[in-house]
Amino acid sequence: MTERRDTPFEIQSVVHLVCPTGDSARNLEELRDAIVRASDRSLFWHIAGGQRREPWCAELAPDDFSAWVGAVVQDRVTAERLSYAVQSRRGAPEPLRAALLETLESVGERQRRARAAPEGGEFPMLTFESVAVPTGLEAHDPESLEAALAAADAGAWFHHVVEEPWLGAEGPRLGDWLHAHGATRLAEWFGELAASGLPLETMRRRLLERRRRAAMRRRISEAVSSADAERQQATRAAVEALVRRLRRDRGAT
Amino acid sequence: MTQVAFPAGPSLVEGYRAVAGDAAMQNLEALARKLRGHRIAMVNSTSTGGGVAEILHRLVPLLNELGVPTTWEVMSGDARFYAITKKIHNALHGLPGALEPEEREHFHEVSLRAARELQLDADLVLVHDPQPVALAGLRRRPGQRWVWRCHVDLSRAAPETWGFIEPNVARHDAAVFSHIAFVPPLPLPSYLVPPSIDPLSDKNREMGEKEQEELLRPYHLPAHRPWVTQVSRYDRIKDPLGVIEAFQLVRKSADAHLLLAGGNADDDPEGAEVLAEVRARAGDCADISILPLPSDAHRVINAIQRRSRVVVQKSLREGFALTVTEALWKRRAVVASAVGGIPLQVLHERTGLLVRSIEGCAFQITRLLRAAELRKRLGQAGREHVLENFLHPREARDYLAIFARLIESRSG
Repeated sequence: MTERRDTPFEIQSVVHLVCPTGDSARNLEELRDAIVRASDRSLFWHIAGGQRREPWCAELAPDDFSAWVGAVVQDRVTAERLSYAVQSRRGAPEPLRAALLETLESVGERQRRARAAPEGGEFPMLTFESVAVPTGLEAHDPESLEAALAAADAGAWFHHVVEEPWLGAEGPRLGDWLHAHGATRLAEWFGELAASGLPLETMRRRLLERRRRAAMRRRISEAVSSADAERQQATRAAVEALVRRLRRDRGAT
Repeated sequence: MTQVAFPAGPSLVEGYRAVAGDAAMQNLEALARKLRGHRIAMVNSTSTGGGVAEILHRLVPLLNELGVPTTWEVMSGDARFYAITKKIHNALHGLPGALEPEEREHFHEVSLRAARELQLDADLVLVHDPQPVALAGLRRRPGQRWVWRCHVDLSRAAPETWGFIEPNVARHDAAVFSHIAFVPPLPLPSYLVPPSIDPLSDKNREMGEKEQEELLRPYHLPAHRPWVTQVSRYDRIKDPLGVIEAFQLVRKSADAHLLLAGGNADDDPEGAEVLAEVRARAGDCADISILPLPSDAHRVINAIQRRSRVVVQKSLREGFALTVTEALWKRRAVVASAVGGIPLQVLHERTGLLVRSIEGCAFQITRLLRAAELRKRLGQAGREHVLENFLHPREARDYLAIFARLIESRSG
């Protein structure tokens, strides 16, 4: 999608309505069949839904497929291999589907049927519908987009950084908009972040860290090009601020 | 047939904002703005008692405060109607007892009267549970959207009774269920919306230590020993005898006091029987306290949960298990069976510990009693999990999102 440079980027949050697809699996063979039939949205929810459910966690639980195969079917080897398939191919539906199927098909058909969940432990296939929620946050340039995303909620992060690149979007996409505004490196950075599968709050912290580093670089570069008197004044102000903080800290203890 | 009125009270929006955070409330407010100009009607069969009435007492004023005019219509009937709906309720839970033709007829007559008398002209009608399920077929107007919200576990529903209910459900535009296991095949979109707890209620609000001590003083519980607690009614599916057995294994190697607290069994013959069994199994063990509590002892339960070192829910079957949600919200370390809706809340080793046996339960309780850091980590993560997923504002948000979706599909 081609984006015009004067089009602002509107940050939207999203509410996800989870729905059963009606499909389910009782063993690895049925899981294989269900993955063949699954829509892209359904596949996505089973590998990325955890990011939405636990935005704050330090480390995410495994995707739904490997969690079920490991904990319910108790086939730890296949579970590990499925985890790797998701970790390495989480960027787009078809490569992911192919990697999941390849992993499951590496188990013989008889074994796939034999490796089954106990009664009541079926794997239900889910999908979801997204309902967009306006946040009122709008960006006119890459810098203000970073600031707006830093202030946005987990729903907005999931929508723009994780969901949109995977499923496509009707409106402007974050990456396309950044490319159109000349921020190719930032667009690539967000692409790498999406592929990382990190928890959403960790992603936000990384963005804040990136902004802090950029601000520091900017200050250093401004200081280098400033006159001696200005540098001395800035140094004096920094030392005075440090002394004030130390006194305050001593007073507090 | 009545419409429930609400006296003016403190702002729920600001109350929830203080607890659930600004982001959660901003989402809710933005969705409410999307629905401005639309009216909502909630319909159920009682304004007092039970979880549905409890949430509607909050949800209806909350939506009105958000600028979405919402009414609550209560469908009432005679004693015979309630006996029939109780029979339906039991059969949907898998107990025997099919409806007689004359009972079906009476159900239809009461539904017809409700369809005439209730104010159901809203743009969106949310029908709770099976009692008012026939109204969509009897009262629907063009352009309206009707949603059936099922709070019942249908996983063992008697086919004949479900066969009576299902055609009525099919006259709605969407259905909402609490858990994937409860969803039957239906010819309409089905959504999963887990239940939620009210962080502002007496049972869940913050409570200082002094208030806790005052509330618990009459019960003479050992204040200086670590409590292992299960809060639930005296029902075999809650496995109170299994909890005692697990606790006796724990006591071989750790100091603790077991507290079994829950609904008074006075009006429930089976509950009284189970309570007697529990008392017999506990015998005169000084390490076990059994506390039958009245159904409105919300503050006492709040205090008990907050003072417990480990909260257990060793059920054999469960719907969603809101007692687990309550304990997680209070940052308690939870050990619970991997049944029903519990695994949605207790993420193993992340927000609590899941078990499948008496020995597993004993092992994990002992582990938690000995590991303060683990209890703290699980308790904190449990609190955040509930904050994100299982508070009333999230349930309100999901309903508004479903309505917004249905309106979009109508205009699309």
